[in-house]
Amino acid sequence: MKGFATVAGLSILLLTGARPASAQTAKPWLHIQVEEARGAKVKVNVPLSLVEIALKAAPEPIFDEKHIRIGKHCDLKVSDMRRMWDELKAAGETDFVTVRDEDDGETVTVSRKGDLVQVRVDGAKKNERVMVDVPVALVDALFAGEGEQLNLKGALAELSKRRGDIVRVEDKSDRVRIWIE
Amino acid sequence: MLLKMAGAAALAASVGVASMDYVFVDVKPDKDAPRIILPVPLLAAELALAFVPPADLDVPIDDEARRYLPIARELIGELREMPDAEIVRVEDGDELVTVTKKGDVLEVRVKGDNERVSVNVPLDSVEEILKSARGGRLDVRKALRGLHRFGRTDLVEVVDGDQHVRIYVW
Repeated sequence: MKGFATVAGLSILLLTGARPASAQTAKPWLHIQVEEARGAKVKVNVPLSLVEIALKAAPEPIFDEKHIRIGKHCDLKVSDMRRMWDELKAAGETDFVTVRDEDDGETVTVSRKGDLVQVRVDGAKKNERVMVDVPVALVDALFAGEGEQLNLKGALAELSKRRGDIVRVEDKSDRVRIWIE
Repeated sequence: MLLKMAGAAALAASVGVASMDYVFVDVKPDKDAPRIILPVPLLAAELALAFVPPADLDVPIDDEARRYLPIARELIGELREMPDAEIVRVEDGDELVTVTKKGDVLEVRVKGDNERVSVNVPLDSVEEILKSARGGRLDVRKALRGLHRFGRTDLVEVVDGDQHVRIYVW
């Protein structure tokens, strides 16, 4: 009887055309969900390929072919950021930055765990939590340009390989989730 | 003049008798006002173009707009290829805004306390119109042909209290 149920279940699965998740989602989609405590909700679901095209419409001074230029007034040069990144990457799996604010009860950490750069903000007093996971390969791709340019197209290509949460922000009033599926 | 009229008739024949589409503008300004329905035959618009000097049908596009044309074409192509989905949903109190891709149409819906806006953007028509803008110039005749692709559809509907505006192709 149990075997019959299994066979029936498998048949239904085949008839309904159900496929493994990986086969269903050949093209990655970017999902953004924002929920505010006052009730407002925003949901955005777009294929990453559409994001890539939309980014081409960025203003001329920022966007140039495959790269993003940081403006003149940017405090930190991309070349400096690239150098810093190279050094951080060489340090391997470690906590890069830990900041504890005793007054606010807030802890900010930036660390590398495996192939991810993790940014965590834990504000116990404010009931606030921020989680940002950035793949190392994505940052590598972003800094693959030269001079004061970031390789946005390369970063998007890396992003399209990833599945799951990228950003999660939760505090007592708002929730933001950005993920790729 | 006779030659032009003959040309217009030939043009009418070339666009086909089947394309006897009308764009209807249906307006009711308020509860007590009369309803105004204005039918505009697309064929008549095409015929009228036959009387316009060809040079005036080739409109230059400014540099800024020209820059965005290939991106717009790519965006429309990508939107047409992607599966049906609700792209944007914003809920704020009594207001709901959605942008949905359904088939070859991009549907924009706004529902408020006392208002309702509905816009349907036929992607293949937009693609056709964008195709008519090449080499930094817009071919008005080709752009108008893009309107024929709308088929029978509601393009815009706005209901605000007692006011009602509807634009549709029939």
